[in-house]
Amino acid sequence: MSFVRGYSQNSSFESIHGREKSAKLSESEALKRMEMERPKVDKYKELNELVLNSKLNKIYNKQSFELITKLLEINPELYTVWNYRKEYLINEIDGMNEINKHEILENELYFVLKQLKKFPKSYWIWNHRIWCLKLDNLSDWENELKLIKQFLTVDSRNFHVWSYRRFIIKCMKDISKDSDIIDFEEFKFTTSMINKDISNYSAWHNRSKLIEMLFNKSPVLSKDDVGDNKLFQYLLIFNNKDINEFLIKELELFKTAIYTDPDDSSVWFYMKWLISEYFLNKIENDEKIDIITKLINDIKELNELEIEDNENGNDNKWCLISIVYLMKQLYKIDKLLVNLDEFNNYLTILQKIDPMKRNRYIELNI
Amino acid sequence: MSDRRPSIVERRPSSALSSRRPSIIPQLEGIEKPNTPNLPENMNVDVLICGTGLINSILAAALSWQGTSVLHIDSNPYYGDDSATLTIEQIKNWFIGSKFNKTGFKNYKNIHLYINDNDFNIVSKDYGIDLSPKILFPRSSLLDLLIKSRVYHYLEFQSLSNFHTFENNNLGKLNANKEDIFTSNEIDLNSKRKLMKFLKFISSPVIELPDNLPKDISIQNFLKKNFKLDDKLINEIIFTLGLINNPKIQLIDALNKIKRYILSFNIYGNFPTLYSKFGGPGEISQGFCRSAAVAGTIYKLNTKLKSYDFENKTAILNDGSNIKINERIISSLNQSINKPENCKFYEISRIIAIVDKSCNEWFQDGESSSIIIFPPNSLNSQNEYPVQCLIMGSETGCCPKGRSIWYLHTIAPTINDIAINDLNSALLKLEENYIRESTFNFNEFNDDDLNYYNNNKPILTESGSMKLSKSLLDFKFKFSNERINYLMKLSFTQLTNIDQLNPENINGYNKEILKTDNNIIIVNMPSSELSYDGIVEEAKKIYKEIVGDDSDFFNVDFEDEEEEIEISNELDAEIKAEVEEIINVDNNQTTQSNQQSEEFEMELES
Amino acid sequence: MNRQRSKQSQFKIVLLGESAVGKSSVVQRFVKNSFDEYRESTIGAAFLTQSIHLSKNDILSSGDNDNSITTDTIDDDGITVKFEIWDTAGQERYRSLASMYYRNANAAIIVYDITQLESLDKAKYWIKELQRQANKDTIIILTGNKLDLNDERKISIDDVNEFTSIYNLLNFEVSAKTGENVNQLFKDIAIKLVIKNLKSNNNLNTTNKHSNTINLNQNTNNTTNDQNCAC
Repeated sequence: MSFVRGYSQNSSFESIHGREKSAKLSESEALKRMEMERPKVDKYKELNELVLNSKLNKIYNKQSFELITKLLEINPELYTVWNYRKEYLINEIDGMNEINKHEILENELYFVLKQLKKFPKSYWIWNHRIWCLKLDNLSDWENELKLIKQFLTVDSRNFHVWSYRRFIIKCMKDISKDSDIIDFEEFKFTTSMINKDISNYSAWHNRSKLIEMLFNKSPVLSKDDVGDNKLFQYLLIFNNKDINEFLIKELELFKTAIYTDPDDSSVWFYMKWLISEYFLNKIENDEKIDIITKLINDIKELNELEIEDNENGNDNKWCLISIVYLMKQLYKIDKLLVNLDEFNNYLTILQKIDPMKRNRYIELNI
Repeated sequence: MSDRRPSIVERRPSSALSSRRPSIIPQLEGIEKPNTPNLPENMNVDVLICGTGLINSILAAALSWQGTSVLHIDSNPYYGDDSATLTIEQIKNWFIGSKFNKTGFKNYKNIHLYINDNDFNIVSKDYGIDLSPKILFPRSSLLDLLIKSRVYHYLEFQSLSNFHTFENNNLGKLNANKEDIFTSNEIDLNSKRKLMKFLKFISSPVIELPDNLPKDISIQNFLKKNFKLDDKLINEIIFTLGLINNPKIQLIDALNKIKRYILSFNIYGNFPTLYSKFGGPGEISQGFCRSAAVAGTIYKLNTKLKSYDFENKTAILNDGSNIKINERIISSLNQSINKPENCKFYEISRIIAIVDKSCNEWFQDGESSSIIIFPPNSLNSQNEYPVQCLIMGSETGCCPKGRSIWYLHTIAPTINDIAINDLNSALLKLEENYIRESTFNFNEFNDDDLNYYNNNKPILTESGSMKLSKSLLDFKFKFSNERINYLMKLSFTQLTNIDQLNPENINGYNKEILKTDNNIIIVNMPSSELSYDGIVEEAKKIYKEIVGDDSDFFNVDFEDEEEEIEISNELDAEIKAEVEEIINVDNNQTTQSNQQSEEFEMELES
Repeated sequence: MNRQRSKQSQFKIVLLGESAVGKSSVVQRFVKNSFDEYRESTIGAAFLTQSIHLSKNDILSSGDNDNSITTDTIDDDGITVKFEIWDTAGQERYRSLASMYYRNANAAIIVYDITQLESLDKAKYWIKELQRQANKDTIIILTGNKLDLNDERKISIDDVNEFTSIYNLLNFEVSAKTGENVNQLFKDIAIKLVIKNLKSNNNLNTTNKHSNTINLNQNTNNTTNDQNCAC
């Protein structure tokens, strides 16, 4: 992996307690540097004006294109300039055959990639890449996937990369007969990303999207095709559209995750999605009750352990918030299932241990 | 210096190179004994350094970049001294030299060497054997120095992920990062939780011990009482993760050692340690010596100090040259003409074995080395001290394909053969485990076990670790005609004058500077510490003694392109920030789109 | 807009030879195109890098190409070769070069001084040392420097030819002072190495560095600065 500073993904606890970069500049050095930069800033201003002027005058020649490139290299956030660049390209490829068009857009992708290496979180660069790919009918999707993989290696939680990935997958599905296989491959990939870093919010989100799609349509594959036994079990569940079985299995994963890190919000959020109307409406009442009751007990158990470990004997905030949420879900099914005293007690504790959100907890009252 | 003609064995193309054309250079007449030029007469240097071990080499580089004139010699024909990386031929010569050492000190004892030349076609230079192997933590002062000094340019580093702990006659891979802990089938939910709690505790920037802690509580009891960890995990954490070789270590020292492992993850990737390819400290010494040479240090191998007239500051070397020493002589213990007074010696016992197995089963995919730790009381010898073991495969550049080097060491005492019994007992366990793990027939096991195997290779846990499931524990040596052959086995006891059980000498180095009665500064032998920790500090300590201050230690302005590029990148970013402020174009649009959030917003309040 | 996507390959070259034959000057001329008359010994950078570009034709028309390399083997853009050139840093003076120096050298330039009779003899020592320490397939180029002092020449090209043909070495004569033949020397080495690589079908990836080598100067941080601590 030569293209980015940094080598691997940044998944676990210590990721940000990293090596400090070079020492801070002393004040005099900083001033000296600023002095040095002054002409550069002036030049930039001049360049910016030049480009905006030629945009106004709709000039589409090589020279203006070079200026655009120069300007965007310095500042990739100028969306009007990106638009100008798009106008230029449209003008250039007008009337071209697919192959020549592809050639031009490939060059463009190369420029975009160079920019992304410098600014991997710039919305407009990603946007421009998508725009290019949409325009080109000869795009190499596999290559884009490889690229995404490298970006995720550097930063596995980069939200822009994940949305870009969804875009690419959608394009691949549009031209594929086996869109369900692609979805399942994505499910595999996303699972591995979650294993690497259970705090990866984007990965959990992607998982939820894929699960919805796979319940809609899933491929029929043999155990050997899938390889991994755990994943094969999931596939059978998707094939059978067995929501109840799915929830039981997925909540086991959830339980492992909260035991690994009880304070990780993304996992708790994911559980909330699992026990939402989206799934509950698709299973029987007694199944709902069983699942939620067991889940509440599991979380209570964890909370007990947390209390034991906590110096002040406090409850775990996330445990209580989730228990409250689950009790409310239970209440919707059957009011008699919820002990309101217990429920209110939890709310009182929450107000105490999380005073910042006190009012929200008060509102949660049934 | 008499130079040796390459032996026939050496000229024979090695197995790895067999496809290449053989050497066609005929013997070169008349140059069998090239004269090494003599050092100039009346040579005058600020500092003479004897021995090219790692600390000495760092010193040579630091001093000469600082402007001190340095002559750096070594009595051996190679770099590295007591931490050299040697070929098989060099090991033989080292053995003879150490065993029958006539001058200097016997700093090795109980030396035994076995080489199986008959059964194996050993090509001497295919091997790089470290006298004191070490691994590198990404967050360490040596790594910082390698970068600062640019010495890393000369070296190649590879990752080392697999840390195994031997327990119940079995090797278990350590699960010490979030992914391993989350995906492991071996750890129950509650242990996962406790382990994570401990890892979070230890990775906080400052370790804060609870107030009510009993005085002098041991690390073992601390983990047991405060984190309710079980003995197995405690052993793994202290001895494997912490690489601690003294079970009586003080609590805070132990925690700091454990912490370095945790903090080293994800600096270069998802692995805790690195090692330098082609050899450990011996290779890194060469890098620093090269840096020193670039800064002006004069090198002469095969040369040693014969006498030193402290009054007149004149040193005489064994090549006859007379050197005027303006400031000091620094020497490794074994190359010094006399030893410091009141020198008491402590012991590190080592076995180095080259085996005819690749040992890939013990490595993580894409890697070629692993650590195996035998905690106290895990061996038949009832070992009081842990045995640390480093396995190096062929991709480390230290041995040919299909071979590997096993390094074992312990600081157990040598009285009553305690140390060698522990080492041999560990060696035997390594053999047994390797044979078991490389020879079972996975078809014969039930379905539960099969989950752990793939393509005839045990994959066991997702991170590629090695762990046998229950029924495999009872595996009898069904295919046990498989055995491990030794190409070489070297055992010896290395002496150091630093008490490694003394909590003051946490990395095997002490605070004071050792001097002989004629004011030669003595650099100690390599310590038993498996990492490079303590080495830079040791070099700095002596540097300070000579220069008076260590603030300019490697404070070098390397005027080269690399620096310029880095600066210009920084500048670009700064300019960009400033420009954005001035122009303020499209700002609103940008922030909005950037922070556009996903639909997956799940506020808990419904 | 030109895309710089032609293939690149990297090679390690080491310099050997007695002190004062002009090893550093040869490199200096090649890398920086400069010459310092009063340069005393090797100082400065530890090793230098320089790239040269080979056109498709450079490779195809080379005498080393036995027609096994065809026009399809090479990109139209040609190949860029990056040299990592190691100078002795004075460690050769007392025969104290480290084994690290020889390791994985793709080519070794052994320099002698055409005006110094014994410098050729001494060069033989380095050939032998190279045999002992380096890979068997390191390309060895015996290079006579100071071609600008042709009038004071003590070593005839015929003698050298005879010598190199016996030992199967390449030979070259250059002047670091005038620059004569210096670029040609490195270009020839580049072509030889590239062709050798193409023949052994190594996809031009036979740099010394393996893919699983960690670059210490590229750590994971700083790329992601807005992550929350996952603790």
